[in-house]
Amino acid sequence: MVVGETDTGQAVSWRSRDGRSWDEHRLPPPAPGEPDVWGVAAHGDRFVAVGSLLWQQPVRVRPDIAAEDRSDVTFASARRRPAVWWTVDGATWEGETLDGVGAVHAQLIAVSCHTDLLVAVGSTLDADGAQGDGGLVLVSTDGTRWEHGEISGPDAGALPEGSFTGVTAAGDAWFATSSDMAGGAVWTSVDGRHWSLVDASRAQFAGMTLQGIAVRGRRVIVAATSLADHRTSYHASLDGCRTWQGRPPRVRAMERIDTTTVMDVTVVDGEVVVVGTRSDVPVIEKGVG
Amino acid sequence: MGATERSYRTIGGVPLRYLRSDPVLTTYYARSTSAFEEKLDAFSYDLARAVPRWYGGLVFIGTAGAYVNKPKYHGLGRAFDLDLVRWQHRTCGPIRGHHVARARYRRRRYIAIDALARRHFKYVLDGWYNAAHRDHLHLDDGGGALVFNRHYRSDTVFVQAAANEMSDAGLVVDGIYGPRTSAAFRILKDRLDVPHRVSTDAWAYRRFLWRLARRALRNRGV
Repeated sequence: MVVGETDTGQAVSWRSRDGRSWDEHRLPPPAPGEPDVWGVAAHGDRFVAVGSLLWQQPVRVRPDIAAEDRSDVTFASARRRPAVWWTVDGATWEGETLDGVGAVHAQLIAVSCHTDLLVAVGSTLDADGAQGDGGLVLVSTDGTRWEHGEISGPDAGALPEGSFTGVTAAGDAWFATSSDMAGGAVWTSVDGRHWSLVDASRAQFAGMTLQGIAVRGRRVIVAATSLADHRTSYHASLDGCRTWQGRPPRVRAMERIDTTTVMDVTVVDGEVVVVGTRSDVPVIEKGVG
Repeated sequence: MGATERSYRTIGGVPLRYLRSDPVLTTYYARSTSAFEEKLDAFSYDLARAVPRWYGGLVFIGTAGAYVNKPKYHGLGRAFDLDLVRWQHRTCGPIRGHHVARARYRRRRYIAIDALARRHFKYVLDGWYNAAHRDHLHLDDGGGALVFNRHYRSDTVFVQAAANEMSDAGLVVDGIYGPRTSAAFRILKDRLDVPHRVSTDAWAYRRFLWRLARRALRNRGV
């Protein structure tokens, strides 16, 4: 199961049993607005997807301009709310917005499940809803009632122009990635509810955006993109994310070319799987190893 | 329209540099949509033509990133973080905190590039907007028409800071568009000989920004 958006802005899921043929299903907006969907996880016998819903009040400033020309549209107010969708059959999605987050604008980017606990991560946004400004962690056991996770540390989850970007469970620990103006970082939690920064990760991933995080056995893997030249790199840790080693990618479709973008990394049946786009066409490939 | 449909290392012929990998200036490869690249190109042209002759030519533009494949406009290939503008004989450095520089001419220069950016990008987040932007200008083309929008905190803090730096308005830069801000904005528009309809007329707003920038680049008040 993969989620994303079509080039017309519709939130969709793609489902496949063999990784070759995929069927597409739409995630309906849970309320009026424009949905963004960013992450999906299996939770028991269903899938849970996370994202956000943007509502804006458009105002036309030039009544003499033709209605189909939107070049004069501006917005009197706006609100971005976290959103959650779920499906049992993998095809029919239901969704709802989460209104008790405590910030005017917020979004969810990734979700992971371990035993019955769902952990969704994302960010709060600034006053205009233009940029992320702080980390957001929500936890749930049923996918409908969500509570705030706690982010501790000197900056208490401040992520200028950034967000949490990935989350995964690794045995008796949880790990999450974030990216902001300075670069990437890795966060850890023992229960999925209380999070703290892995201090050394800030230096390790300075100048990089971390796209996602996955666990294969004892190995924690992150996919990163350089802010300067967009080169993709993969890093693995065997000691609970304290130290990292670079691992060259072994994925042909995701070799470094200008039109390739890695969006996320996960593990399926023991194999590392990378998703992204090449020339703006969705690409999914396994075998990073 | 793909977020990474264009990859480039110059804007309007002006090299891009990544300044945050100390101590070396690194060539930066930006990726964005074609439409966004065209707006950057027009912005670069404004940076070159708005300055007086003694600035010299535009040498490079320092950036902290354009396309980043995660949320919001960076992820759409429709955003750009501006760290520094280097002309042959002058510099404006958001990365150096020039919006709060001791010298007023530096603060006015910052106002100028802020204004020129707003001629092409609806969302310009600057050092007055919040602490996250104290070391760079964020430019993106979300947010709708290129007119002044008093509902946007990003627009209001800019007008408040511009009124303070250019006409000693003495406003609190709080992003709240109240009567004092409105009056100070009206004075700026009058003195720059620009129609007041900047909330409904993109041409009038762009003219206001152009005239403001030209005076600021010459360290002349309004």
